[in-house]
Amino acid sequence: MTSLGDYSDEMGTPGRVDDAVAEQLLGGDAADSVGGELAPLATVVHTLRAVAARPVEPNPTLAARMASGVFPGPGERYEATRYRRPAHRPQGRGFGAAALARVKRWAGLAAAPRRRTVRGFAIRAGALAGLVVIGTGSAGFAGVLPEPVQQRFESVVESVTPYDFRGRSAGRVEPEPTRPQEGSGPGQPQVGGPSRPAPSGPAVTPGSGPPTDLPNQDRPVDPPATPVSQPGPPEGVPGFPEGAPGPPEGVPGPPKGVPGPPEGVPGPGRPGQGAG
Amino acid sequence: MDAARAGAPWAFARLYRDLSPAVAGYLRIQRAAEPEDLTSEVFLGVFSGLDSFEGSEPQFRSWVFTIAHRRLLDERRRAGRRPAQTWLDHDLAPTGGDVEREAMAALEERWVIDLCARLSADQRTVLLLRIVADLTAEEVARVMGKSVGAVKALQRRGLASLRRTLAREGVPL
Repeated sequence: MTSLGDYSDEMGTPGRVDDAVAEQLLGGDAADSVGGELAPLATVVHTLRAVAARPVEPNPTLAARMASGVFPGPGERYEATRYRRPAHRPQGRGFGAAALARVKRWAGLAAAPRRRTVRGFAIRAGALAGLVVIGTGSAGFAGVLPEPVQQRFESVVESVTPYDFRGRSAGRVEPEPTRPQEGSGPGQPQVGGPSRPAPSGPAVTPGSGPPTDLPNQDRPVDPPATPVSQPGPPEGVPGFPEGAPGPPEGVPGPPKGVPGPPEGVPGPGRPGQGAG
Repeated sequence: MDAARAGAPWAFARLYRDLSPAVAGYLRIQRAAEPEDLTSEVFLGVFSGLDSFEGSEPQFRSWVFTIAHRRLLDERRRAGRRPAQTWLDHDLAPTGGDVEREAMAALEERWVIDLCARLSADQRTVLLLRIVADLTAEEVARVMGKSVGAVKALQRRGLASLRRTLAREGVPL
């Protein structure tokens, strides 16, 4: 084994390598012939040549080709990997397995868009049908379908499910009719219809209950005691609290022309909640 | 050459035996990923295009290394950003039955591969084509697509760089 110390006395400062010395080195001259200064470089060149002299075995493909003496032409690899139109194929090539595979490949590629189109149409149709069923069902259960359609829907649903639309309708709470607001003037049109049923028990005629049942905010603070200041109800109204303004008998709502609260009496706290 | 063109198997074997060690050594020192496989690919290309070659035997050698150099560039292009393999990754083939000699050969090969790896790519290519492929400066210029003057400048700078490296680190073998 050698080291730089073997040459360091002769090498000095490394300088340029001119063309003549380079040719001498690259030509493979021995270290002793190029001089001690360049001997390490000559050693490198010698080692490189030795590395490049090592035999290499061919791989199986090359070995088989060399044994048979048959090698593909320069363009054959290109033909095997690239699709070309039949008109450009070299003469003498038959319509063999490679061409058949190519046709199958192109046929598969051509059929792919059709498959995708059919599948997409089926998916869209299914989604649309689902939306229609969900929308119709929701509207039918909400009862907002047109009458014939609603009836048909209810019959179908009741026939296939234990759900009962009539039972649901019986238990349904009717919407509250509009009632004349207390304090409305006599000229306002009267709105008839049943009054709001009591929270418990049968419906009662407004004003027929005891005054104690009335909420405080609906009860006049100062009940009219004198008929002078307040026109009272017709005489002889049974069950009507004395002194309290009330509707005439048999009239479900306040009678037409029922005066509002006496002057100076504050009105109801909330509109729409009658005092009765 | 004529026998190989005629498809004689012995001619292919002879050409391969004469040129494959230098081609494999060139690819190995250039740190190709699979130098042995790449060597076989080079010769597949050489033998496949033998009909298109016209020239003398030295020109044939230059042509073979032109193909080898292009295959090396193709492999590096395919590898893309893959990190370069170090010489430690190479499986050094045994050179014979002498263990000590094999060990020394492996050490030498690792040393020169490491040494050449410090050169620029063009300097390394020029020096290897001059030394390993035994091509002239004009032939190297044709292989690399450069002028002869550029090739000579590259070889001067490459040798000077090696000389500086050896002055710093010495010759371990």
